Amino acid sequence: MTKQSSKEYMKEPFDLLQTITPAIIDAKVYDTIVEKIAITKPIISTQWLHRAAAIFICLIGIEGYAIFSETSGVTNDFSDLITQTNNTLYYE
Amino acid sequence: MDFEAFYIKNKNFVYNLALQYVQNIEEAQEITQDVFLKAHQKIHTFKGGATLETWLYRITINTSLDAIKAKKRKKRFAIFSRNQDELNKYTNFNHPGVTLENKEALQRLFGLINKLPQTQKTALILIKIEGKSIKEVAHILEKTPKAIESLLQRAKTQLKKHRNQTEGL
Repeated sequence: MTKQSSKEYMKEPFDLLQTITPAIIDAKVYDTIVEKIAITKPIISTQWLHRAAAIFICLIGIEGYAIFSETSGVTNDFSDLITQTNNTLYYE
Repeated sequence: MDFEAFYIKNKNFVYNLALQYVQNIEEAQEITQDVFLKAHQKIHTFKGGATLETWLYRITINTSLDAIKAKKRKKRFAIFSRNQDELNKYTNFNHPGVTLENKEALQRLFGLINKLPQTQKTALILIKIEGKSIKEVAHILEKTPKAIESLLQRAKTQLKKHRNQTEGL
């Protein structure tokens, strides 16, 4: 008996694989996909969410800058409330 | 192109490719749904470098491989919990493209193909079942044609080894 070559040995399974015919998908699959898309679709688009977040961050930044620039010129607001003394005793 | 036209154009190749990976109608349908859902959500990330079909091939391959991983986890859990119904669901060979006379032989053959590493299995499916050329597969998998030839050769060697082992039993 002659020994089968490697190519011949694997020919049969590969020929078998080529007998597989293309299958047709069930029509209901499309409806399910459309349903899933409708469920996963966000009510507010992410683009608008990004825009709102960017505006919000800008406003916070402006607010922070305004507060910082107002206070940076003044050394201490409480200094006016403290009475100034010249450290001299009365009746001296 | 609207989504329905896009689906009609590509549905069969996505479904058939998924079938070659999982060999089960329900699972292939679920993969097809996931593929089109992902394509719908990520169409804006599609770069014109590859064709839309190549891009869809990549999504299908990745989704199928992920589904197989998830199936293995569920199957392990079903064995552990001794849930026979659940176990049958994950071991069921139900390929509509296979004729009745070849069913048993192909079921055995797919059993061996499923043991191959993911990349070898992908190369084998695309070339031997889907009829793609080495060049086309190289483009889909973003590898060189030499690398694909090597993958296919290794897949054949592994398959032969597994076949010898099962015949020796």
